[in-house]
Amino acid sequence: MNGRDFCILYVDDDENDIRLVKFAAEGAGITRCLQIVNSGPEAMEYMHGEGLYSERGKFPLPTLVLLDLRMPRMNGLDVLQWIRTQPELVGIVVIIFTASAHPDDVKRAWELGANAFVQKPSTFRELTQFLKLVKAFWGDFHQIPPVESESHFAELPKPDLNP
Amino acid sequence: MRRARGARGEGRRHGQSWPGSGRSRAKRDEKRDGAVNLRESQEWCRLIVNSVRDFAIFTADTEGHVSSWNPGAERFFGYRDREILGKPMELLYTPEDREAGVAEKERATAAEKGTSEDERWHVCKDGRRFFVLGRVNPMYTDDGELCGFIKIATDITERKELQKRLTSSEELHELILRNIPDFAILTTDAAGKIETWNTGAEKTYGYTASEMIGQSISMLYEAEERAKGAPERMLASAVENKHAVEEHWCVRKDGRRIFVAGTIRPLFDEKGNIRGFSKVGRDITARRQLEDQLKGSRSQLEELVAKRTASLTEAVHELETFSYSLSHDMRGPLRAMEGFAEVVLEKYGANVPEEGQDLLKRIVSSAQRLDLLIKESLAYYRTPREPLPLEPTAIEPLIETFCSEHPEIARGDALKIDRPLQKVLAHPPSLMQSLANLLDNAFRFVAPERRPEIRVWTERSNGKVKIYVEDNGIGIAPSDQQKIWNLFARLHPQEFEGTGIGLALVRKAMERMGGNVGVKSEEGRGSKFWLELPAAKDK
Repeated sequence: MNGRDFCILYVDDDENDIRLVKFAAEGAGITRCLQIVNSGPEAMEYMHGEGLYSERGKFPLPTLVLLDLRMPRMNGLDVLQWIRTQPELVGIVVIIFTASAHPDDVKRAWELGANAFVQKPSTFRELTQFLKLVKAFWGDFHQIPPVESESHFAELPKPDLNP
Repeated sequence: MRRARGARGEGRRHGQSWPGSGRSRAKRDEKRDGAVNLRESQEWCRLIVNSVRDFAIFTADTEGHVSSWNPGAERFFGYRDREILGKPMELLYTPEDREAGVAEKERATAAEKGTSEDERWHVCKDGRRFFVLGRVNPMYTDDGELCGFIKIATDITERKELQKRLTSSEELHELILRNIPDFAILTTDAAGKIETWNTGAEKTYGYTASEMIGQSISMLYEAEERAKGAPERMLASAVENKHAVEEHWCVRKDGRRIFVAGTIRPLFDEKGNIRGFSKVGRDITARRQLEDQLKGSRSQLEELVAKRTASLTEAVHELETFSYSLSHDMRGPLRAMEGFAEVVLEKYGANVPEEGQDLLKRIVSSAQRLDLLIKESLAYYRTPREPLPLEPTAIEPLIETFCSEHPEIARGDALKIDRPLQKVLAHPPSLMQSLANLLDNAFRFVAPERRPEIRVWTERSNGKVKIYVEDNGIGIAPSDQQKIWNLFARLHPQEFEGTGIGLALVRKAMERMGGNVGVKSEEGRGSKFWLELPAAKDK
């Protein structure tokens, strides 16, 4: 049915949130693929399959990215913008997943091509519910497009280490 | 005209035909012809004089006794000829003139100079005075002997009156113009050469009338203006538009600059040609200086306001940003607290003693509560003060949405709606939020043993609609009914959950929609909250 398996890449620097999401994913039945990175540059490395992440068996290309906005080294919106410029990353669902939903951010995210903008739920129950929904919709209902050959990549922009 | 019988022979009566008129002459001796001719011309005169009613013509003898009297004299003086004939003409004069012997003097002057003319008051038969222009001439016999006087007079009382009025009004004008010190009033000829110059002009410009009369009006303008042809343009504009209003700087005689505001008007003669100009001006230097000062102050003020607004806007913006990041920062740890406690309960709950479970649950609920507080505070401070755009809104769909989100309220008969509900002019999301708050409160603030019963209906009057939400809850004492609308106000913090923000939000929302809120309640007897909004216009 699907070209690829449902696989989430969660990009966030907050350890607590990451742990909560992991717990909630268990409860939501997302057992197979939940990958975590802690920053924008790491996310880009992962998506390009570079360095640590070159083993696609261990680190499969995600079908959905949960993207936090406020990260120290690189803003989530910049990551989003980058993803949308990569031809081989076409078809990857990007959900902005953040604590504060400033209208300007929401607007900008839509302009840059986010698929959804979600405010981090304040209760664990809601978080579990959210992930269940995500899996049901983007994993089961949605047709995941197959991906092109991974050998031609655009030049990686150098991350700004002094934000 | 009746004549006194005297040396001249028979008098001719009215209507008698003229001897010899229209007939061929009978042969008469020459002397008789001459005598007849003389008599003919005399008769002509008599007829003429007899027919004149607009002039008083009468004669007197050398002593001044009236010897003949025409209808005009009768008309003016009131005496019939038989009443006055033979009487002294002094009768016709005023007592003062009589005493001064004016009549005699008149006659003497007439005899001496051949005529005497004057204007004076005379007296009628009934004592009334009237003003007369009269001429007295002497009469001579053929031999050149003075035999009497003839006086021709006419009533010029009215004319005199008019003249007096004219003179007095002229005098008045003259007086006014001369004496108005605050207004410079001057007139010029058609070329702009000054003809009159009032006291006000002297005071304003410093030049006396004698210095200015004959000078060109352009002297009043500054050299620059003169060079640019401003005076000529003003005069031309005055001709074209019937008046020209101007404000310009002038230099006084003492060299001081003054700012003059004035109007130039053209003056026309009887034929409608321009015969000159009038200018009325005022020294408004003080006012102008004040205006300039005011302008300066005002622009200073505007600048200040702009600066303050900018810094205020900046502060507000900062606050907004701050509140966003604050909420982000505060809600993170809360998520962690709530989430992990929840996880422990889920994963390890079975291994945790009941008390431990209870404590974990309390951690969860506290975190949730704090999170709600932050969320609602944020919502309250985030709503700006500007009015909201309004549209015709149906209330029932909003309540239905609320029910679908709060099944516990919708369940059973807790909520009764008296349909139909009137349509209002509102901002749907804000009205939704307000209704949700009221309904939530109605459901929550109920005595524990009672089942909440909520009723919703609308009433319309005077183009406004009141939406009522009535409950059977714990009620609000009148002394507290003002407080409940305040932010964070909670009347029963121990017994009932709540953030104390809901009603503050409702009030703010209603204000922004241009509506109103209120409550009618008694402690222990339920509450009736109402929202008031303009009724939506019927289609």
